Amino acid sequence: MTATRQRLGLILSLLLYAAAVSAPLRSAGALADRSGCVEAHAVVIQLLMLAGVVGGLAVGAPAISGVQRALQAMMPGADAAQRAGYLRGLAWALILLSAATNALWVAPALNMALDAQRALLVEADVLLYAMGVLAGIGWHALLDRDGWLGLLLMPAMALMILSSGVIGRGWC
Amino acid sequence: MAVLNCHLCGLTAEPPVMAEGHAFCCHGCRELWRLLGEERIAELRTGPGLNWAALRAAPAEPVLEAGAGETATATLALDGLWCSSCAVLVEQVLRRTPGVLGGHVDYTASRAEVVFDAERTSAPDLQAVVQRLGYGARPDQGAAGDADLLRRFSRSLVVGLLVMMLSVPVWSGLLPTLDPPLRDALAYGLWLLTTPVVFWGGWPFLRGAWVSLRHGVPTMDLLVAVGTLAAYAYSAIAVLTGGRYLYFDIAGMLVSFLLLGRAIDSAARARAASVSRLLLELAAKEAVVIRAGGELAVPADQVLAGEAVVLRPGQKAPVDGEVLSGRSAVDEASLTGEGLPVDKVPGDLVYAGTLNQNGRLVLRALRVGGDTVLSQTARAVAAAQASKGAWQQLADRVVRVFVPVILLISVATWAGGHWLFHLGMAPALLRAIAALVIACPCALSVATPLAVAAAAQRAGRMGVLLRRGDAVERAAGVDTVLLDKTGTVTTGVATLAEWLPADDGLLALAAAVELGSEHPLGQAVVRAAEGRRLRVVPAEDFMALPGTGVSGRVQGRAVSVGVLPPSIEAPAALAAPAAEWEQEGRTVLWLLVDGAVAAALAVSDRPRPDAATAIADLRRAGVEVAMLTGDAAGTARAVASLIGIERVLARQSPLDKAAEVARLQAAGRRVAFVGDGINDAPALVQADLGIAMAQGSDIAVEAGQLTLARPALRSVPQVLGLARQTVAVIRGNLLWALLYNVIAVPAAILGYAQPLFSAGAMVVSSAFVLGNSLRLVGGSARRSVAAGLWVAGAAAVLVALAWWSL
Repeated sequence: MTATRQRLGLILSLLLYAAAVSAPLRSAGALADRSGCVEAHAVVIQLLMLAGVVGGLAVGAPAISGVQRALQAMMPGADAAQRAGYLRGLAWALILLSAATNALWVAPALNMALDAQRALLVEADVLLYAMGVLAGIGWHALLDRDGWLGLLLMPAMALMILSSGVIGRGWC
Repeated sequence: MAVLNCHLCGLTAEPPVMAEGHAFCCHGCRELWRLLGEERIAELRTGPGLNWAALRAAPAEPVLEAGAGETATATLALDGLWCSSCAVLVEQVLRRTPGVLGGHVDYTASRAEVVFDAERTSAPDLQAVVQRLGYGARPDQGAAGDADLLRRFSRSLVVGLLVMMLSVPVWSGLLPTLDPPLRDALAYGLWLLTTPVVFWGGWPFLRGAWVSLRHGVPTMDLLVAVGTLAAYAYSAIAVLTGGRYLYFDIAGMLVSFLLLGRAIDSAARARAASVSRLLLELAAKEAVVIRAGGELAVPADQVLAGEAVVLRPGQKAPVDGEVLSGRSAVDEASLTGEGLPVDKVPGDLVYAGTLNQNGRLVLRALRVGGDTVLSQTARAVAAAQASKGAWQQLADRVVRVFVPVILLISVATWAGGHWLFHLGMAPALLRAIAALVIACPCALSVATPLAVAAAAQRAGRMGVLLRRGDAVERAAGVDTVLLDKTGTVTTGVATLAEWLPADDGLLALAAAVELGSEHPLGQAVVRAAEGRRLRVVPAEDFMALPGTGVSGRVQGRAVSVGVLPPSIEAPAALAAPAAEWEQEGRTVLWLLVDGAVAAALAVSDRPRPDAATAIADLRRAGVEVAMLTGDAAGTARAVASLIGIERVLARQSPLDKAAEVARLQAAGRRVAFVGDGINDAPALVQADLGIAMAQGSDIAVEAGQLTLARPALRSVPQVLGLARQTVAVIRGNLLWALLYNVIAVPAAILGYAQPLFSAGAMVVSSAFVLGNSLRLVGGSARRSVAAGLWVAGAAAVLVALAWWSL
């Protein structure tokens, strides 16, 4: 990825984040939370996560290169295939962790508590974005140039959770 | 307080492990002393310290006749080996175990190799034997050991980060304000996430702490385990009782950071062990000896000194020996680095590990088994690898005093808080735990390994490989650099500089006879002819006369190239320039055609292109430079003057070079020696810092602490500068770690170490050590600060956007 595309990716990521934390979306989410509905806030959360994934994909190449250098130094006895296997495992761990975090915030009670405490709400937003960045780096490690597929796969995974687990408390 | 030395190995015993009035540095030494007895130990004290080699060779009581059942081999990765005694103890106990036929414990690699009767015992049984001694043992899977630590580290880090992020309500004091279901969900969630980090990720520390408790030796593992478990237990109780503060994030991050330190350390040891293995792979496993008039294949270690050993083409020499009969070319690249094979005739020496190429040789074994140059070098390397840097030793010693002191402070805080200051049981306990947690020396434990690892990475970019953990510290104090000439200061590749008369026909004649020669000087002549695309006809009746030159017949004419025979006088037109060439450091070859001098050829070995710059850089850094060489004084001085070296010692034997190093050391100098050949090995070993050229002999490479992977002398001043910078960073790291404790521990005792403070202090402390060490890789503090500011700025933008929703 060229420096220009990296910069564009980061700008896009920031714009998406700004949209996700914007007043209209936030009040829509809070309103839905108060009604005990899940999906509106879940969409906001998904947007935050996707913003992070875009950012992660943008910084993926230098981040992976740094991790590879560290692995080379830390695993002198291992060959390239072993190090690559280790990196893949780490990438999956990051993606699954992000997905788990994503699922954590779809509880209306949690979201209502966050809505009531601005500091916690901000922390949750930043945390979700950060988990998205980690997931983006993970997708880049797994799929390299095709890492953007993570942008499609992550919402799909989230939708599966939403549609199966919390279908009873959907859009209301 | 008097500092005691270990009764067995002589190392400082801090704190001492006492037994029957003697002090030991660890339980390994104590148990070994008990196992062997005072009398046997006294026998093995053949000089200063203990003769470990003799001790290891001490026969264990035989417990089984060899060959009773099917033999098997087990390789165990060991944990908790404190010093060489631990390795010997494990080895001795394993060898006395019923069913074991033999075994060896490699302290450097923390690995045991055991051969056993599969019908009498098994690998898990042997594992249990080692574990009963108080050491960790698991089946060795090569790089898997490092991978296991890394796996624990990375997973603990990922989960630990999540726990930290979820702990913001705890830090901000908002936890009690949350709705009870949400508060419980968060608290139990943190508990759930931290549990595997503490018990699975932190398992190496918990196991080490258990061993430490069993043997009454307080170690870092004990402090880590106590700190982590205290934080975990306190937090768990707080969850159950609705307490305000939770320390789950601290417990998780503590484990992650300490695992990082251990993984770095483990990687450094693995790197060192791989070099040693490489060397031993050179050794031949089998030898063919002449016994009772016939040839008999035997294991290489069963050859006796004085026996006749047959060396066929393609075989490696199993012993150091003298050629009794036969002629052959032997590839000595593994010893000397010289790519061209060396002709061996009766009387010549052949070294173990060198490769016989084309003829059959019969050798008289001079040095066998562990006495060969190859084995001696391997032993020296292994011993060197077991050493630790002075700063790491200092850090270890600090930790060994620090651990019991912090444990005492913690207990005193609880007792004093409760009984003297009448705090409730819970606040007093909280302060005691806070002191324990905050004092856990994350920064102290990674201060040196992290800096050395960063320096190794930077040195790697310069083309320098660190062969030993203490190489950086050794390099930092160097004030004198001695250089070998051929192959070090010079390229080691001879080239034909000029010839007189400058007639291509004469060059073709010289090349024709040199075609059959493998001597570097002859090869230089042939290369020159090839470079000029001359037609070179191979000579007939070729003869190589060692030390004289070569001769043959070319198109019916008798042609020879080499030194000028004493009976022949050089014509004046050639004698004058030849004398000049010698003054310039070139070697002169004479071409004789039909007995008359036809031409003079000057062959030179040019200084490396960057040699002069490297010498100038060293001088600017205040380092004294000299050149030591086995060559003639004229040649040596000529080369030295070309690159700016004033002090030259010529005609130096390998031992002379080592003696000169020792003389300078006795005069208070810290000496680095740079060399490439086997003849440099004694000086490389004697020097405070041995720097070997990678394309040089393997022996030289093994003898050095640093290896120049690229033939660039400029790396020498660069790496010396890097070493000084690294030691400054290590000092800074250690100072910071101590300063942190001096401030943080009293704060914890006085009750100021609330979770936010503890977490912040730990993050800042570890980030300082990390950032300070990474300066070695990145090169500038400004860049580190800029990167930190960039990340902080990005985080601030994210927070601002979320706070003031647009």
